[in-house]
Amino acid sequence: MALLQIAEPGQATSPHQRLLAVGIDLGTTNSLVATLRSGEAVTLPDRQGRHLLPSVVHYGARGIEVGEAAKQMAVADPLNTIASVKRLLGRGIADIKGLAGRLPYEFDTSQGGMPHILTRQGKVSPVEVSASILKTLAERAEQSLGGELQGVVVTVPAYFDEAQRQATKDAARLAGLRVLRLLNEPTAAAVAYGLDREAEGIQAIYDLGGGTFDISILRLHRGVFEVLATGGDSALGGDDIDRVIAEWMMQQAGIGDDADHRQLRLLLRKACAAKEALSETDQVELDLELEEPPPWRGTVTRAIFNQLVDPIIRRTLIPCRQALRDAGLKPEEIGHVVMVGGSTRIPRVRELVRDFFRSEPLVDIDPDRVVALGAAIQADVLVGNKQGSEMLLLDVIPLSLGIEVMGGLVEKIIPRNTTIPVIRAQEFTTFKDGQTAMAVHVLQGERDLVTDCRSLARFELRAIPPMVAGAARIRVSFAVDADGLLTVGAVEQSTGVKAGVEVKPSYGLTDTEIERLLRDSLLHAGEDMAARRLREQLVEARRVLEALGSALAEDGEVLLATEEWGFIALAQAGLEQAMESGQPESIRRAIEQLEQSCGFYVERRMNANIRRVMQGRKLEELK
Amino acid sequence: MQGIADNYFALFGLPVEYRISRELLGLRYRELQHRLHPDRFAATGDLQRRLAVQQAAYINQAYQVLGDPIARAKYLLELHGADTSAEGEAPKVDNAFLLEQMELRESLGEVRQATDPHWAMARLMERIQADTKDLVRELEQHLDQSAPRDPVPVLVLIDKMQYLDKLRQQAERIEAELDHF
Repeated sequence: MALLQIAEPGQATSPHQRLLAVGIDLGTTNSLVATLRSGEAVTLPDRQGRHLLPSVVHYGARGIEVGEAAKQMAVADPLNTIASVKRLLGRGIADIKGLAGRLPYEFDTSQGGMPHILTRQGKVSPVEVSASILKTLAERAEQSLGGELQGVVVTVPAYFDEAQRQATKDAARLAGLRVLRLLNEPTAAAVAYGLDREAEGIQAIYDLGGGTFDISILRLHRGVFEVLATGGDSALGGDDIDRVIAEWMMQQAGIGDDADHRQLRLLLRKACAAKEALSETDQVELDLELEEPPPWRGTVTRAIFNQLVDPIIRRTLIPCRQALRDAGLKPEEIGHVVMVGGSTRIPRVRELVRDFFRSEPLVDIDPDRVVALGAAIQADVLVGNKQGSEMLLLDVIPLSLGIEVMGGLVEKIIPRNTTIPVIRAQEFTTFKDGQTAMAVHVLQGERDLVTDCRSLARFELRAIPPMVAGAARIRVSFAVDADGLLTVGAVEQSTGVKAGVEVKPSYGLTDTEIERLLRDSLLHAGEDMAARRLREQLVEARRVLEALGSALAEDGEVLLATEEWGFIALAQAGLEQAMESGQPESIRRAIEQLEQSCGFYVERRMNANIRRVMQGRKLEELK
Repeated sequence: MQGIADNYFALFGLPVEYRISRELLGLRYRELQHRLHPDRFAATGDLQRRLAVQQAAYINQAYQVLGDPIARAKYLLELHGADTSAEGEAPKVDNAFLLEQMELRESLGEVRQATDPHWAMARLMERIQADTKDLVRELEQHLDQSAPRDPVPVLVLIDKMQYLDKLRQQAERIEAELDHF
C-alpha cells in the first residue's frame, strides 16, 4: 500500500487485514456494485434484496431519490426524473442535439460546453447525476461490508472517448470515491469469464447494453488479458430497440409526432416490457390506455419484433468486422464469444451474433452482472489484497488521438488500438519571429477533418523563448495512462524551457468546479470539510510512511549511500512533524516534499526491479 | 526512458537482428508488463505511479516497434548508425515494382464494381500479404546480426514495404465501407 512498495509475486508485505474495495458497473439503465467474498465475486443487494439499481435519479421537492423509487416517478414527474444519464456524460451540446429532442428533459444550453439539465432543484450536470448513483452504491457497499471503502474500480464502455472517461472519473471524485482504475466493460467481463474457466486463447466480448455497444477482441494468456482491438458505438443500445418498438406502436395506434413527455415515457415503458417479454414468449398483447387518442390494443409477434430490431443488430456487426480487421483476425479464429449486457438476452441478438462468429455465444454468467463481477476481481487485486496475483489487463485506446494542423485537418499522434499506457511526442515550431505562444487543439476520432472529430481540449503553450520563426522546437508529449486519460506536456527543446500548458476541457468540469461541488455536497451532508480533509491527508501520510519504512528495510542499505539515507530521513521527519500540526495543507505539502526527496530512490528501485526481471530470464534460459 | 536497457532488443532479451520470434517477443513483453505495469502500483503514491506509466509506455513502444516489420527495419538501421529520415537521398524503387503497384491500385479501384466485391477484396488482400511476406524474407537476409555494408538496398526494401502498407490501409478503408452494405 504505498509510495515505494514493489510487490514480489507471492510475497505479502504484512499479514494485513483485507482492504475493502468494490467494482461498480455504472450502466445506462441499471448499475451494480460487487465485491470479493471468500474469494468469490458477488454483487451486493440493497436492504430489500435487490441487486440492480436503476440508474435513475429523481429531484423531488423534498430531496434526491436514486434507483427504484426514482424510476417510479418517471411517468408522473418526467422533467425531474433523470434516466439514461450515461448517454449525456462527457457530451457537448452539439452532440446531444439529436438526442435531446427525444429525451424528456429540459436542457440549459446557455453555458456552452457541457449541457445542464433543469430540475426542480436547479441545474444539474450529468456528472452530478452520475455521482448520486455512484454514491448510493458506495453507501450500500459500506453498509454491507461494514467499513470505509479503500478504493473502487468503475467500468466504462471500451468505446468511451477521453471526455466521457474523464466525466466518469469526475463523477466518482464527486461522490468522494478513490478510483483505482477505470476499467473497460468488455475487459471486466473477460476477467469474470476468464478466471472462472481458466480460459486461454482469443475471445470476443459482445456487449450490448442499454445505451452503448462495445466489441472487444482479447487474447488470454496465463492471467494476462491483452486487448487486441476494440470498437463500438457509444450511442447504440437497448434504448434504441425500445424506441423502434414505441415508434411502431405509435404508428399502429395512430399517435402523431406531437406526443408529450408523459405519453412518450408510457410508450417507452410499454415497449421495453414487450421487448423483455418477447425473449420468453412468441407474442405479446399490447394495451395502451390513452385518453387522447382513444385506447389502442394490438399484438406484437416475435416475427414483427425481429423485423424491427434487425437493422439495429446489424449495425452492431459493422464495428465487429472493423475490430476483427484491426486485430488481423477472421471470425472463425475467435475461440469464444462472450455475451454481456441486458440486451443480449434477446434471442435474435444471440442468433445473429452466432451466425456472424460461427460460434455459440457464452451466456452462463448473468449478462447484467458479469461486468460488475469482473470489476470487483480487478478492484481486489489493485487495492493490494492479492499481491501475488498473476492477473494483468492490457487495454488499448479506442479512438485515435490527434491535433489540428493547417487547413482544418487532423494529424494523428496516437492511432486507435494502441496499447496503453502510451507516450508519444510531436515537435512544433513557431511561424513568426519572436512568437511566444501557440495554440494547440487536441481531437479524438478517425476522420481527417477537424469538424468530423471530437474536440477534447484546446490549450496554449506560453512562455516560449522568443526566437526567429521556425527556430523554436517545442516538443509536445501526449501521455495516455492506464485509465485511457490524457495529459499533455510541452518543452522547448533548444532551451529546455517548459512551456505552460493550460488545458481547457471542451465538455468537462474544471478542477475548481469539482472542488466547489464537492464542498457543496459535504455541506449538504452536514460533514465538516476541514475535518474530512485532515482525515484523508493523515491516512495518505501514514500510507506513505509505512511504505517507505518497509522499502528502506528491504533494500535501503543496498541502494542508498549513507548521506542519501540521511536526506530521505530528513523529509521523513518533516512529514511526521506536519502530521502533528493538524494542518491538512502542510501535511499535503510534506507528502509531496517526501515524494520528491525519494524520487531518485524510487527510480533506483524500479530499475533494480527491471534488472531482476531481465536477469531472472537469463538464468531461466541456462536451465 | 534511460537506464532500462541499451535498446529494444536487449529489453526483451532478443538478438539484434531482423528475424524475430513473435512468440518469444510476446512472452517477454507480458513478463515485463507483469512486473512494471502501472496497475501493479495502483495503491501507491503519485511519484511511483507516474514512473510506472513511463516505463510501461516505453515497454509498449518497444513492443510495437519490434512487432511491426517496417518500424523494426528502420529501428535496426538506426541502431547500425544509418540515416532513415526522409532528408537523406531518396532510394530508387525499380520501375517494375512501381508498375506493379499501379496495377494493384487500379484493381483496388475496381473492387467496388466487381460482381462480388468481398471476394475481389479478399483476393487483393491475399496478394498484398504475399508480397509483404516476400519483402520481409528479403529484409531478413539483409539485416542479420552484422551491420549492413550498404544501407541502400535495405532502404529500398523499406520503401517498397511502405508502398504496400499504404495500399493495405486504403484497401481496409474500402473494405470498411463495404461493411455498411
